[in-house]
Amino acid sequence: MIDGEIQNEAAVLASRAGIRVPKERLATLEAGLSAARAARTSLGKYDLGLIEPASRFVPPPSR
Amino acid sequence: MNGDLACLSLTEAAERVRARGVSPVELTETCLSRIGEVEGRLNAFITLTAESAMKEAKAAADEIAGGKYRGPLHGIPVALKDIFDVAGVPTTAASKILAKNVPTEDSSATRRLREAGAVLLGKLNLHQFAFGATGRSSDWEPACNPWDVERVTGGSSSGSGAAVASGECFAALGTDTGGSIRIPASLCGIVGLKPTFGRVSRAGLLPLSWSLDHAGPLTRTVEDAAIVLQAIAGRDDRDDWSSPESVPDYRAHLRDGVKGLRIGVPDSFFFEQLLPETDAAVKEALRVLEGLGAEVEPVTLPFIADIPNALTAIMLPEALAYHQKWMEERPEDYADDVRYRLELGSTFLAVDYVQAQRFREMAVRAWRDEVFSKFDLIATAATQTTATPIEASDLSVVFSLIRLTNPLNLLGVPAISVPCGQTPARPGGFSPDGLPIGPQLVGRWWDEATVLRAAHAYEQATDWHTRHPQM
Repeated sequence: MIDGEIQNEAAVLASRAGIRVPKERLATLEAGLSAARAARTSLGKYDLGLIEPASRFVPPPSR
Repeated sequence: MNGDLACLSLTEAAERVRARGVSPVELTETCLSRIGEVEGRLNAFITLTAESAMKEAKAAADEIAGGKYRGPLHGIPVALKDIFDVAGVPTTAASKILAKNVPTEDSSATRRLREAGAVLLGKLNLHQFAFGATGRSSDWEPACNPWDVERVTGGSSSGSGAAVASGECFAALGTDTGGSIRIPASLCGIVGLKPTFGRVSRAGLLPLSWSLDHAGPLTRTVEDAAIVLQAIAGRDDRDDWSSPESVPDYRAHLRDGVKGLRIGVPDSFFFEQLLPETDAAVKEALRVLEGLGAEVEPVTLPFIADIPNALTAIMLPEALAYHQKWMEERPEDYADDVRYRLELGSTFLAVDYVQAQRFREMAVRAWRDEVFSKFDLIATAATQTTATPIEASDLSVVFSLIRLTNPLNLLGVPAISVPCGQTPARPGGFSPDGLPIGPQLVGRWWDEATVLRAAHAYEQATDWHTRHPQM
């Protein structure tokens, strides 16, 4: 739950993630959204085709 | 520190124990004495288990006297980052949230160290919940850098870096999710090895990010790191992420040199923002390796600029998932910076996380086919800068510290930091001997042996590993 009124995107996302963020921290968190947006833009450039996410990452075998 | 037992490498101490020139009891007393001398300035330990350490040392001494020598860790005092469980000893992760968390079982790495005969001195300080690169945030106050106690050790394995560099223990275990072994190793002037993802069991460790966490050694020499890795590596049925890949004898080819090894030097990203002294020291290290017979050539690393974004999109949501309950119930009990990073985890969508995992698969295949088909190793700096003043270590410092290490956590490749230089003496705060600088050698998946071999060749051709902080 958010402490106080839901004001911005960061607040909505924090609420949905089930964490408490006091009002005075929301502006900082809103600024921090840029990291998520940068990642989205960065990874959105690629055609990932049929690549599936590994449910558990396993490095390539030794040669 | 020079001239006493505390400045020996683990390898040297082990040889003396094997030859019965020194007993595990003497070594443990030496470490405890050293802790008594310097701990007030370093704050490397959260919990010291002196009494049980002395019992273990006596047991090791009796066993060795009785003709049962287990190997090079037998009777050697070591310590663990305080996220490795030790039965009966609190695992705090440097947070008061866990102050009363006392596990009933050893972590698998702890158990393997015990089986090898190591003496456990205690639990080491860290950046709270292993979620920070400076070591500055700890409910036990930050660990300080032995080269200049006003400066950070680097993190998150901050106490591990400080304790090994200062001679409080002969080796320590740390964990590395974005650089948390290699960064304190680089800033404290010691060796830090992040093995291949899955090489060392994480059973009994508090997680930061399940997909990215690696456990490994911090030591004073490369051979010491090989010895510790040998003890803790290998498949563990308690950890489904641990690999059945066979574990070679890491010391068997340690002295084979680098002649003919192909070392790639990245043509972008890794050398763009280095402190001039760091740039010069790493390039000098490359000249040394070339002089020893390595073939050094430029390499283009696929997807390198986007890899950190994918890592962030995995690490932050996974960390928040682990901490969600406490973040809902007692967020005020977190250090501000740790809480902020956890809050940031909520800003990533499920689709971001899945795309990052898909990107990871693509990047790994590209590095396998385009990089490690041609090169045995990649050489970079481990950190862009040297240790910064504790009070000045803000978010920009954190970003700078992790920039060169975190791509390798996404790829899961082994990487080591070895001392390669020190900044020149400067007036106004730097220690007279300057601050340590570390290059990073990166190898193929599961090929820690080649990483260790090249690092050892470099180390033996230089004298950086023989320098110790004067405290």
